[in-house]
Amino acid sequence: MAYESTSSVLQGGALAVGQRAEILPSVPIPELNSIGGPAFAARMKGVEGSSDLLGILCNTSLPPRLDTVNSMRGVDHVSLLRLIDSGVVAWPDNNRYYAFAFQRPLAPRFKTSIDETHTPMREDTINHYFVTPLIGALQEMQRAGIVHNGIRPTNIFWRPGTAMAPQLNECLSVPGGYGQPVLFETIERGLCPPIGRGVGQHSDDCYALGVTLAMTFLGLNPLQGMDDASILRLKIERGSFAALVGNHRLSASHIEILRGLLSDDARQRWSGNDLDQWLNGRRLTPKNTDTGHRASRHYDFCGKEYWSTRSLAAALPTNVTEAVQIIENGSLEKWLRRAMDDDERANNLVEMLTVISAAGKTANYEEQLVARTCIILDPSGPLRYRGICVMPGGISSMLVETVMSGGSPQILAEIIANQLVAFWVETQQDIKTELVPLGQQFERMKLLIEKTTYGNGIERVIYELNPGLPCLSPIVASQYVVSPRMLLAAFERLAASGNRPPELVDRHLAAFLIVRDQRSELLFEAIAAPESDPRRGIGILTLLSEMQYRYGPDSTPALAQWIAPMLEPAIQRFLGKALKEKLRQLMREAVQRGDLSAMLQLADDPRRIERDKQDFTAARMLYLNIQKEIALCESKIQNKELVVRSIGKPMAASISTFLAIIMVFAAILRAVWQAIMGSM
Amino acid sequence: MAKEKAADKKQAAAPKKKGGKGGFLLTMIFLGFAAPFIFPTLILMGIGLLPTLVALFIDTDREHSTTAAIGAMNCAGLSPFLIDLWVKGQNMSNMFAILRDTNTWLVTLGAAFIGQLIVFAIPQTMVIITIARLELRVRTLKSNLEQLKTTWGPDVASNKALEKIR
Repeated sequence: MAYESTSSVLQGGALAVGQRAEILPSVPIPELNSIGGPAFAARMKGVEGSSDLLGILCNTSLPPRLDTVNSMRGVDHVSLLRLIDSGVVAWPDNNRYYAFAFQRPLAPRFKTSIDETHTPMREDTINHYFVTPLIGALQEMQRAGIVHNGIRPTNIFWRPGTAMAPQLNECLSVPGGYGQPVLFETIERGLCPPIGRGVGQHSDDCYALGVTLAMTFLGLNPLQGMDDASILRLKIERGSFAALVGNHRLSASHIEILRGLLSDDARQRWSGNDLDQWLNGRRLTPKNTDTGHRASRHYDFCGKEYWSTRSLAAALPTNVTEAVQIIENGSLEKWLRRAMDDDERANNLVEMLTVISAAGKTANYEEQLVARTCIILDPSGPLRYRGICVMPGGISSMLVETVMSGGSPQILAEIIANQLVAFWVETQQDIKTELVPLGQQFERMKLLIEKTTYGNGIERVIYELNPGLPCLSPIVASQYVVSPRMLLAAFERLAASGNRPPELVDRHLAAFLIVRDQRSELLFEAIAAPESDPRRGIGILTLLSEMQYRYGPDSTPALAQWIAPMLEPAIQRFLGKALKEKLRQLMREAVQRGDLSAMLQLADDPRRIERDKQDFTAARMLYLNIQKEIALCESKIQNKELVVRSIGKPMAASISTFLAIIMVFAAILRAVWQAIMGSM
Repeated sequence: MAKEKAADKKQAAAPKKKGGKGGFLLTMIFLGFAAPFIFPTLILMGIGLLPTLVALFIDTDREHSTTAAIGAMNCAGLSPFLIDLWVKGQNMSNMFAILRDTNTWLVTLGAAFIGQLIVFAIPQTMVIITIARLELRVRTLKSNLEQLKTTWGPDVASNKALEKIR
């Protein structure tokens, strides 16, 4: 993937950003700082003395939207800052960060604060020079499948009164929705904290454009001075269009586009196609929706009166005990049927209550019941569970933020395990089919989160839900490892720095590699074994040697030095002392070469292991036979009588017999001799 | 097992004993028939082989190695006088003449005594040689065991499962 490239230091202190651009750390541009990090001058690679590009350094703890980088490369529109290149840079503070190089904006920010006022412009001027290019940019992003999540006047570069088209600032340096004021978010997204909003959909960008256009048409922020809660309350009570435009006088065409874009019902909100028709002069009339439908009679909850399901859904999680009571005693259902005249929602509530009661009162039953009730009351709203308010698409970024800030992801894990997202998807109406993949993804996440093995659980879910997320493992956190192909080089740098961590692989790294490199889970089960288990060292070496073979670098001596002690249990498996010594010597040579494959071959050669076992078994047999022979010899030594009987006496008999034969022979010879002499 | 082995040994020894008895019987029949012709020889042998008879009665060894050793030498000592009897003529006067000669007793009993000396000396010598050889073998084998331990470690002497040896 293109965003995997890493930098090298170039001449003049410039750092390469990807393959085509370079950033100048010595030339900051504070006025162009982004939410995701500070801005620096940048230039095309090799163009000395130039600084015609804008570099954004992502040095905050928030992960940039790397999964959108490739889509953004394909976007080329006059009203969008063009992405030139991106990559990891080794910053002078000895840390590694992700950096983007964009086309430098041609104008200053349209507004430096959302409360800044300006003189209202003529309708045709604003339509021609501001609205039309921005609609084009929105359509281009819709075509590319990108949701900007940062459309607001302070994020647009435009000089009013000139013919130059406005330019939308970058949207890649922070998670979707982060940094966007509540004013520019839809009601449902505004209810969530910035990190829990998620990337959202095209309609959310249309809404933000609507608010931006309203402020531009009016020349001021109509909700100036109001805090976020007040803005939300006003939007819920009066609807976004009424809250923002109110009694201000605007032209009919502007009222029309604002009414279309500021619809609180995403199904009815204007999209790129509707805006295109509006530009061509076709007049569309936004339909009325049931959003903000008021009850004929209020519902009294915790001493307050609630006239709509959305406001009641926002209030229920504030008092779970009371909420459970009104859900279980049927009073909420009756209110929905009688005061809201909404039998469908009441039936959904009864059905949900039946299902959840049948499952039994499990842990967090009450919170689950309230969360599901809130989804039924406000289907397009966020998930509200144990004090967390998050859009389903924002769970991923909220998980990352929670883990990076050292918090506990327990509540988010419960949201996934309790299948609240699947329930949320089921409750949606017209756009249900578009959300089915989201529901299926979270059903798969439920299975993964329940697996407790190494490389699974919440860590794996984080990487599954955030395709562009760098590895969050504390081991390589300073190295900004975005892709498995960067990992070995990062390890080598860590090992060479002399400040290497005690562990080489942890749950985060395992999950990262399982998701990004499709590595087998079994391999990580082996790696999770105790230190004394030879499978651990061999597992780690198998993992890293394969990466060396596939991605390089070919020699990693410092890393090899780091791994070598972990292989001692594997060498201890061999039974022959001489063989062990020989292997250790060969291992030292392989470590010096930084050849991980050779090390693996030495530590885990099945044929060598088998031969060693066979030799050992033979040696054992020989040992036993020698012991038996020694015992036999010693018993003979002890039992002298046996030696006398078995060897001595037969030997004496043999010798006697031999002597007797000689004597008999001599006697015969004597007799023969006497006979001869006698006859003579 | 031990009982079975003992039974087998008994069964194997029984036919041998039968064969021995058969041979003895045949020898007796042969001697019975031959007695009228070789009577003086038989008398001389009966008297000259008295040490062998004594050895046969006191030898408790199953193999009768002592009897064999003394008997062989006793026979060898008697053989010159038997040849003299056969050369001079087999009659009682020649036989008594041989018996009256002290040299006959000296040679016959001396040969039997040498046989007894062999029985006494040779086993002792064999024990000394055998034990020296076994002790040398034990030293060599023990050094081989040490070498195996050096090469494979102390676990080569144990019966631990291979998976538990590290």
